[in-house]
Amino acid sequence: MHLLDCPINHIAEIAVFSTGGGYGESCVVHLGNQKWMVIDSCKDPKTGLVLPLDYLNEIGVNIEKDLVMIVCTHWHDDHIRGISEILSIAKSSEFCFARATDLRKFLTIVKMDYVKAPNDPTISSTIEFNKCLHICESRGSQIKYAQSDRTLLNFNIDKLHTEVISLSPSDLTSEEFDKELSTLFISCKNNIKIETKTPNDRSIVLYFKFNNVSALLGADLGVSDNKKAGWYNILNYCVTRDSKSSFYKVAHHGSRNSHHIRIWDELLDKNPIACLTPWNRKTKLPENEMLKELCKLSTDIYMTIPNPNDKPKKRERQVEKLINDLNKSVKEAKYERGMIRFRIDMTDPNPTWEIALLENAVHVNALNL
Amino acid sequence: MIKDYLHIRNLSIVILGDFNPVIIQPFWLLEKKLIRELEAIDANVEVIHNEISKFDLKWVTIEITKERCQFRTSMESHFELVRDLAINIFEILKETPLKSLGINHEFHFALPHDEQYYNFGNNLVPLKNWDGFLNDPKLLNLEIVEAERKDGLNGLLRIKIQPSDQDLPTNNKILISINDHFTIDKNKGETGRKSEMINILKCRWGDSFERVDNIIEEIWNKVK
Amino acid sequence: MSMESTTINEKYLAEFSSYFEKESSSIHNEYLKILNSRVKFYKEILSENSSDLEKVVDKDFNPDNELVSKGFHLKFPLQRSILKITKYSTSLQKWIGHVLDIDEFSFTARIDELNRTNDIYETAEFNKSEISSEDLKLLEIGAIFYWNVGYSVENGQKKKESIVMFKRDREWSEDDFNLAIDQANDLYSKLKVS
Repeated sequence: MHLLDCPINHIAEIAVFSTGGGYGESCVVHLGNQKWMVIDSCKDPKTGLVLPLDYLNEIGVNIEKDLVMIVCTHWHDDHIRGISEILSIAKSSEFCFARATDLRKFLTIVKMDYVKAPNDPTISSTIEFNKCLHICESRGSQIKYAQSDRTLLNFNIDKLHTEVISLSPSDLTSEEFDKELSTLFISCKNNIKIETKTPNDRSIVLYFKFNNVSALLGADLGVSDNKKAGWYNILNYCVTRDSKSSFYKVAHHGSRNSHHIRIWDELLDKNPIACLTPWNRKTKLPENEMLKELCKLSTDIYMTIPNPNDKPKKRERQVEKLINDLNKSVKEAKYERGMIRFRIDMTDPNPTWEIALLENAVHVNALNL
Repeated sequence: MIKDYLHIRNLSIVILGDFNPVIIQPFWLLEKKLIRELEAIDANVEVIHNEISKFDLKWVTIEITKERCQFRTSMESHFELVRDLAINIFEILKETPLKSLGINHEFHFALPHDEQYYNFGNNLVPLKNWDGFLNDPKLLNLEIVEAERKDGLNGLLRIKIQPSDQDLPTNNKILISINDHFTIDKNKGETGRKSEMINILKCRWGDSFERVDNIIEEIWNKVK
Repeated sequence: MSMESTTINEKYLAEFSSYFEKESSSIHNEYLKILNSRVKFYKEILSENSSDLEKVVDKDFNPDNELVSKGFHLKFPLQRSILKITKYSTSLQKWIGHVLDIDEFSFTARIDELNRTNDIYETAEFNKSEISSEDLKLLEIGAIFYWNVGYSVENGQKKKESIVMFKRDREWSEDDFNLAIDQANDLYSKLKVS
């Protein structure tokens, strides 16, 4: 990594990391006055390095003292790897996740998944989450629920006012998740990885206010059919969000299901800075057509890394040949890093975002789509 | 690498304890949804008796006496299924006392050249030490034990090297058997012992294989 | 040779019937047919006049074994016997997978190498036609399976093999639920939530 330094107190920062779409993403936010926040976590699959942790160490942040909140936006493999490692070091940090109407039931599901096979790679998200809960328990530290219109953090120090507000999940979504937990409870099996049907619906959209500037991080929230869930709930019912944002981390990797023109018209400034991270499993996101549409909405669309082309893993020739003979579809999820750092001066009366594209990050508008 | 000469790999999981051989049989496994229906129907049952049971499900042979339960397979593709089956059986049979566990690996190699075969034995046990008072000495069997496990668990590792009796492409056939044996502390009580044993199968399985694979390569590197 | 051993088998049949309570199930009846044929076989070979007796007595049999004292001489090895292995399989690569997506004719999965040294994973698509009909019943999102690529050898004939085996695990017992609930309750009582 290069060009890395610790921002001074009045420079707010949002650093977005991603890993080529297969291994997760994370954001690190400087809230001002050396207060830091981490949103989700991801790891280098080869070295095990926790990317947000590595960044904070690189720029010399006192993680133990100055990391004040870690948010797990939703319980998905690609948003949670390494999060317990960060929490174990960040002794002053609160752990925040989406409100569970029945916490006891939710904890039971976590435990049911965890006891199956502690070393099973298919349940790494449960293992991480379980560890985080136990760190909080042993420390006696606070767990904070995120839900619609909830202020998670509020600082006012040396004329720097920072607020962090969760805009989701909605009350209805939380209640429906509770019902879903009941069905998981009944259908729990040892040979099935627990997958909640709608993890994205519960993901936490965060609204940041840095003095006069605001930023919106869209997590993986989608546009639901139900007006009291997803983006509709935020657009129609959220009251805490009081100004349009000049920065938007585009929801759910720029998928069509998470896009609505009202988000751009009602929640964002004209021509905002927008940042995307790719997704790469069976489908690749963002789709090219979607990128073109986004480019019409802003001239400042950035992507942490273009979606890589997956290829078969390199193996011994005999093995490669046999795999190719028997199943040509086997592809390795390629790991590549991308990072974009966005900074803004909270004390500037006419602040503008300063953008640093690092590693494989690209300015989408400049691409030949 | 010696793995280039490997032809057959066998695995057996051996558990010592107090068993009721009559219980573990194909239709019980089917009732517990641990095997397919066709596997239960097609099972080759040699005997089911309160002293001994033995049956073959095509991918695993299960043999149980009152003191010993063995799951044995030559299907490398099914090793994890065999492990899962053993774990599931003894998680269901909560009351069955277990005393010790062995994960036994067998490797049948066929070396392409006579000289390699001779050197293998000669480098393991230098035959010049046996010259003079024996006529044309040859190594037949070798057994080495690691009495204190490297991983800190109770038990031992036993390695046996002998000629292989299997039909292999050449006559230069070697069998290396590695018994990865775990003894469970009696003081833990029956529930504790069973938990530990099942935990070893769940969490130490990969380590056992990795250790054994390293041993095989180390032996080869020393003697080739 | 005494007939005590046949008594043992008949006694076993009675014990088995009571143990396996589902008397009307086809599984039970199927099994009894097999067992009856075995008992018949043993009765024949155990008869005093049977010339087959010698064929089945294992001269290497452990003399301390209780079965011998009960007159139950049969040739089944308790120790590893010198058997020729005519059917075996080898593995060139193994994975553990979990199902991500299911289509009409295929499913996609994330697969992790079983002997992996890092967290790099792969994805693959599998045709449903490659899966056994009984395993297809286990196919659902999140289902875990093993995939092996290698060779199978039977009676000297070697062929390439790709085999998908869905994980079969015991059902959750009341104790399992109770353990998870107890652990969850314990954690719940200690967590501070706002």
